[in-house]
Amino acid sequence: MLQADFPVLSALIFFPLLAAIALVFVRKDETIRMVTLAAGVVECLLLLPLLGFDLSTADFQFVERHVWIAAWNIQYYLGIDGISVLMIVLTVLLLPLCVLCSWSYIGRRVKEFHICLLLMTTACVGVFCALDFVLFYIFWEAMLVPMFLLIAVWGGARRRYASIKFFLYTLAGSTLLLVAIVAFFIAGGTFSIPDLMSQNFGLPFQQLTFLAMALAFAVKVPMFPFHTWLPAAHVEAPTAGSVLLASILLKMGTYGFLRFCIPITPAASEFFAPLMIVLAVISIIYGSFVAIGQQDMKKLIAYSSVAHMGFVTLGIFVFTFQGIEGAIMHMVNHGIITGAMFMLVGLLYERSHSREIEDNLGLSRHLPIYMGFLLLFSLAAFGFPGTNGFFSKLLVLIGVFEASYFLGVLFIIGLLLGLAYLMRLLLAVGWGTPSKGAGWQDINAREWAYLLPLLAFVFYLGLAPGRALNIMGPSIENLLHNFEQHRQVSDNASEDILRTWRQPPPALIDPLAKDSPNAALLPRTATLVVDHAVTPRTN
Amino acid sequence: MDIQLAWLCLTLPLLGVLATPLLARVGTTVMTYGAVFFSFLTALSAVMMLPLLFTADVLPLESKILWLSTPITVTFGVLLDPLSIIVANVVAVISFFIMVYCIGYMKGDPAIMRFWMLMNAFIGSMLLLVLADNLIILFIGWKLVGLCSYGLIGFYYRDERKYWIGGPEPNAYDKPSACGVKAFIVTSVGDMLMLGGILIVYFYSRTFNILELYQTAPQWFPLMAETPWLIVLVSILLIAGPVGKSAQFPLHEWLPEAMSGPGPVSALIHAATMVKSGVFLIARFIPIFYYGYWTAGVEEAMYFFLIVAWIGAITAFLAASQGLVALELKKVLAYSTVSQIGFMMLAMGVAGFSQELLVKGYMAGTFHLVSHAMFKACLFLCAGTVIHAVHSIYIHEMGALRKFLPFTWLFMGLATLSLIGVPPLPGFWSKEAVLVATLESQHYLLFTVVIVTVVFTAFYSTRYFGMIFHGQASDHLRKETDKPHHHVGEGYLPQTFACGILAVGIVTFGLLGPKAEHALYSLFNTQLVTDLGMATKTFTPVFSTSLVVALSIGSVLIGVIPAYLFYFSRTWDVNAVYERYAFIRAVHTFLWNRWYINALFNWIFVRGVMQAARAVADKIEVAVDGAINKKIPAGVFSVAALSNWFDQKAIDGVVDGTATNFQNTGSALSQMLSGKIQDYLAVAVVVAMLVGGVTWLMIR
Repeated sequence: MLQADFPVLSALIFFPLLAAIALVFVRKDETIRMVTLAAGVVECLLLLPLLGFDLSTADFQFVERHVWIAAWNIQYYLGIDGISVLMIVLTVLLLPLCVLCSWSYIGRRVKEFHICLLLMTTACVGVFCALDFVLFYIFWEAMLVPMFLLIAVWGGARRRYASIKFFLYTLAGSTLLLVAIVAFFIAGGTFSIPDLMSQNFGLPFQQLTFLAMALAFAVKVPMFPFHTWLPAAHVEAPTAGSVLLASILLKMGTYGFLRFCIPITPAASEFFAPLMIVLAVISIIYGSFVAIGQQDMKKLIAYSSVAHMGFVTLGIFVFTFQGIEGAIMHMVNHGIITGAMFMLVGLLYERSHSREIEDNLGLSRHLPIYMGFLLLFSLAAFGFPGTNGFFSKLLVLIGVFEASYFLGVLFIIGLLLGLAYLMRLLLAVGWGTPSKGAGWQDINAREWAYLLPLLAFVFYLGLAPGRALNIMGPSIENLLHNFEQHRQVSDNASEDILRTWRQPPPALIDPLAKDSPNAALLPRTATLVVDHAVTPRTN
Repeated sequence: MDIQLAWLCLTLPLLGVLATPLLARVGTTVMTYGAVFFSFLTALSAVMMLPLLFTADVLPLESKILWLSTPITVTFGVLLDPLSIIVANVVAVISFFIMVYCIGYMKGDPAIMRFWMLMNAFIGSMLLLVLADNLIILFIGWKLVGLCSYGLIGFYYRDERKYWIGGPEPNAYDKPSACGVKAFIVTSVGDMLMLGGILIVYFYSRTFNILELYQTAPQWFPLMAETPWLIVLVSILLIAGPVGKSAQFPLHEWLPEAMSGPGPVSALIHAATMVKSGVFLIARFIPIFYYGYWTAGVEEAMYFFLIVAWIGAITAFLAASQGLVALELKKVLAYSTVSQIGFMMLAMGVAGFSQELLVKGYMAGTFHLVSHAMFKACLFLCAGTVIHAVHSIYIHEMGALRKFLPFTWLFMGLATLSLIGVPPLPGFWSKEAVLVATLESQHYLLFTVVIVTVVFTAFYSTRYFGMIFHGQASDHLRKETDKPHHHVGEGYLPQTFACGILAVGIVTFGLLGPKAEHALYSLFNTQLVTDLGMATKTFTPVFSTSLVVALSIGSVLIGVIPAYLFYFSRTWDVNAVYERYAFIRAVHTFLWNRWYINALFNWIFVRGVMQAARAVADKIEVAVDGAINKKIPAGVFSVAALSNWFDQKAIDGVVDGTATNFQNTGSALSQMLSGKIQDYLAVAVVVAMLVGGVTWLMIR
């Protein structure tokens, strides 16, 4: 039994980093793969303490809180709640699968590739655990580098274009996020995310910070019209890169909405919800429509991701319990399904050396097991009952219908368009006169090994979604409860902040010292630092 | 024990699915009989539920387990009431006989394991749909039967030439794989709309459970009625599902193409069971809307019944008219199925037209469902045998087959007579019930449409039967029979046996017809009036029964006699008539092209969407990419470039060549891609500073 103060989250975050460092000293390619795989498995085992996750509370759990840079009130502050825990599990579980699916595809710079994978895991888990804005931002930015390298080094023919496009888009977004973070610090005096959640900022401030954050997250999600980096990146990225991109990176956008936008700037979320909903609906319809017109399988799945993430965003911004539960479920489900779809395209590419639908026609004769997988994952992507996509889409749909029938009908049109592109893919690739695939090997043992777990999750979450939903239940209730209370800015909220700002600073107190007064003092202590930094102003 | 039978009905087919691959390891024969055995057990459990119908005060029975508690309550449960027991029996028993038939029909097929698994999966899903106690489980069964249907329509997914349907030359052919996709997508349109309807109902009622929906209707139905037109919207959405699944206008175009599956599949899924699920579901919804109109006084609830009745009547007429000219045997039967389901829909719709008619219409719809399931299954099985024997799917390539297939002639003849509506076969009684209900509703236009449809039905039934079994042998058939070892003859024993059993069933059921009708009437009276407390009135006929009988038999004769002269005795020459009258030719072309509905839908929803999608992908997406990806960076970048230029000029006095490039914003992208990330970092920081400044100003 682990001790209560075992730093579970730190272990999860930094174990891959350690493994990456260890990998530097490993020579042979095979050994590197084995070591990374072993590291992935150990990392999965490190998830076991999370079984102690308390389902009854909405508080942050497994909290680790240490002063990091006292002068700026920056803390090493980790914790998870029902919103983040599933994402962490997904991230960690995908690591060994990514190693497996790159086993034969990655032939050069093997060591660097696996180091990138491990660093990605560190950064991604860190993003989902961090409760301090600076810490969060560090992980958030750290994630870009290995991802950029994955595309730029191991990518396809236009990898330079795709990687730079990816980098610039996300960087432009994160810079705005940084602005928002700094603004929060100036106004709220803390980088601690839970503390910021309990503050009431004035509406104009909320609106600006919301826009800054939402733009960063919208690029990540990606929402129309900021989505064009995604197909480019997906098409060029190696399979593992596409999987990580689709399964984890995209989720950070919607995670950001849930973790920052709604709790910290509730009034602005309310204010901008129509905009977000419109963009989400456009993402759904437009993404599906473009997916129908694609010839490249990876592009098709990439655009389907745009549509799926539109479902998630829509579920979040209708602010209903079912909608948000469905949205988080769908984040997980989309991670599983789209990850699997990219793996399937990847392993087909290893055989046919083409991602074009035209070059992979009528495969079911020679690759029956492959087609079985493709069929099942496609059905899951459509949201067929019994697969995981069903309940998440159903919940989002219920949430959306509670908000508006019109939106519900648009959602349904989006689902039908989704069916159209999936059926088109299946019809072309699977059925019809067998024309391709003679002599290609069907799914081998290694491919079974990484597809089967995903399929197991498809059915587990499809048939017994209750446990996953219970995990997130209290956190979402809490989120919505707070949102309901603060969606309208109280009349004096804006004034309060101004007053806080203008008060003469009290003496500098270490906010985390044992004898520090209650947390109410925190904002003012911090204001001190800022007020010294800016020129004093006259009233 | 009673309710456990329902659970058995769900688990046994599932076990059958799981057992099939295992049994396949032992041997093909073992697997075959194993699969059929599981369907036999299923049928047995279903039959054992029948006594419940005649036990007083037992029904409705419900048993459920909790599946999901938050954020919505979803239970997994079964509901036994007269409707579900009757339909479950139709499904289970008829599928068993069809499975028996398949032992012979599918012999030697290389993909037989897939076939048995899909068949058992289908039976299980269909029973899930029928026995479900709440709308979510029902919807799951609903989607699963759609999936099995997709798999079985596209069973010959490799699209070998012999499995193509459509034609004959020079008409276009359809390949099985595409037909399966068509069916799946068209029915899904209905399914998804229906899901929307279910969710709106859930929003008001807060329950998916069917019995609770009935019981709590007084609370939620008036609430829903407060929003104007919402009831109409919900009606349309809820009806869309049945319309898709039961192939009713305007979503009827998938069923003719669904005939590309193996023969018994068409019998099972696209005639006897799955396509009836729409009628079944309408029957499930009827108590809610009936309550809404007749008790709660919500005027809009009547639209539900009006829409159902009119869709039924239009479809009956439309499909029967297409059946008049079709040349593919299975397609004739498919049009006939669509048309007959229209009759059932009509009866269900009429049920809400007056308080007297509720039980009458409800009973008529269900009665026709049962009898149609029997004779249409028999027809399709016989058709399978005929097509197999003749090696042609076209009825004009048959003729004079009576001497080759005497048993099939007899069985198919009985079933055809039942379809035409000849007493005392079941088709006569059930059609009679539908006609009575329609006439008593005093919607004479509906009644006229139906009577015309009866004429059409008689005509096309006589036509195909005559063309297959009577007259002279066609050239194709002669070619076949001239071969030294020709196979023009009865199929394997299980095939003939299954058809025979169904034929015996038809005759028996026909002889018991009036009694069955009476029994059904009292059953539904108990279910609807006693248990659910629907406010009905005693049925007092305005028109005498003999009038309806006379009209029915008269219109049958109007249809049969010309068809007999054309296709049996061949005293009249069809081709001569066709050649002589331009009007006939025009009508023929119109009907042959299915009123151009298929072409229209294809043009809008397949070609239109594909072309639009391509256009969006190739044009708009590029433009969006350009706008976001080129213009904004180009704008920002030229600022950076300007400062760069300024910097260089100020320091070195040298204008380097790059600066001129930036005058052309279009080329900025290539600049952006030159890898100068540091420039972009700079730009990003500038932007961040701008935004930060604005923020700072705002909070100041």
